[in-house]
Amino acid sequence: MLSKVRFEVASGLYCQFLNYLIENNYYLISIKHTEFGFSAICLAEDYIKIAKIAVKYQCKIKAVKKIGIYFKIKNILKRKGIMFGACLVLLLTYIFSNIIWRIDVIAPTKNITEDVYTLLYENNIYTGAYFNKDKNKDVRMQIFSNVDNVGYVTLNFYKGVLTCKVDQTINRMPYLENATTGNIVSNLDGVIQDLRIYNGFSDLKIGQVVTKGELLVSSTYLDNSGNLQQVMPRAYIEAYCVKQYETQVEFNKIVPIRTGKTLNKITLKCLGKELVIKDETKNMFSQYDSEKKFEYIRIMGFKLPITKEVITYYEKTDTVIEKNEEQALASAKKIMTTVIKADKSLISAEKFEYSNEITESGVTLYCKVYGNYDITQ
Amino acid sequence: MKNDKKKNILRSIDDTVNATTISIDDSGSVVLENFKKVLDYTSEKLVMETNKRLIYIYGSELTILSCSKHNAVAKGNIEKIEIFLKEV
Repeated sequence: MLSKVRFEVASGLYCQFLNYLIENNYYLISIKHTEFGFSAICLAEDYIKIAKIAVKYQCKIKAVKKIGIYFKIKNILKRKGIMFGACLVLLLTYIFSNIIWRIDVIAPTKNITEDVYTLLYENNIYTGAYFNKDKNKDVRMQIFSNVDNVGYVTLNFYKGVLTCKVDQTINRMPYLENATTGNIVSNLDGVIQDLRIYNGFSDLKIGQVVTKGELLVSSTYLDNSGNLQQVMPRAYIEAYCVKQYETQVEFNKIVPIRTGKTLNKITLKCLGKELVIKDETKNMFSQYDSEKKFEYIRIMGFKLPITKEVITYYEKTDTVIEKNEEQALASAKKIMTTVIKADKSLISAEKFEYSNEITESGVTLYCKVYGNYDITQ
Repeated sequence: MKNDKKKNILRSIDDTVNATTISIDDSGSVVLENFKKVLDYTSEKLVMETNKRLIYIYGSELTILSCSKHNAVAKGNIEKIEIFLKEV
């Protein structure tokens, strides 16, 4: 119980008694010399043993002061009624801490408050009911989806009071269809899967069907005072679409195949002049895509700027196709795969459907790709 | 011969492990490590016995703050400390 006793030893062989206590690992602190012996503090549990030992050394021992909570509540512990009452209070506070005593709904309109109260009642949340913390999130989502014009909902339960704060949605400003400047228009027919509008105005929803040329995000709108406002629209809209690709391979012709290999071109810029250090793009057939990176290198303490250009290109291949349909189809397929890979609007492909048409001059290969596309590009 | 050497080594190890150390600080407290017994204790004098020596601590209002089997912390107005070899 961490309670201690200060005792006083007088007369007898008190020095030997002290030695005995020290040797037998009795916990003693603040040993003070008194007129006829010494006084020290020991643990309450050890006191009875120490008193018995003191008799052996002909010492008179006396407890001077009792220190600790145990001695303070000793008298109360004896009274069973008080102890029972304290236990009951603890038990009741634990039980009643999860009971709802009051429900406060803070909402902007009366209709919303009534709707929220009825929804809470349907979910067994009323004054006097037991509050289940796991249900909290479900109820919040229910309020959010079932009650009209709700923008944000918070449910807090603290000391028996449940406060539900509901914020109303702000009506969206009407936008005007203006296809002339800056509007984002759909490039493909499809069903919208992902919608992120960073700037501009739109009424689109996930799952909505859009057709090619349809307005997705508008750049102009009417503000509250009736003035025409214009912004630069910026959005990422992903839709499930079907897109058809087409490649033609003529017989007896050199077929350039886009391999997608990368080459490096490193130039050193100094005093406005460019010095080419490394150039792998000399024998390039035709450039396809390039990306420039600006870097710095340190030579003798000087910081020199370097431009590194990474270029993806069509590899020059001299494959001549001599009216061999299989060979032509194979090369057409090769081209087709690189064309599909190069399409930046294609995000994830799900299904490929190939069909071909063989004429006297060559082969045309069609490929329908089912998948998610970025329809803003 | 070999046994003597071993005994000497063991004795030296024993001496280093059970060596008594006394540390004194400015606030007037003395820490004694590895003592054997308290021979005499009054508010003016504290006599401790170690393996080979007797330690006398003189002063006024001497109190033993804490005491375990081997270590003791004494506090008070310490005037002097005397160390004597035990008479064999």
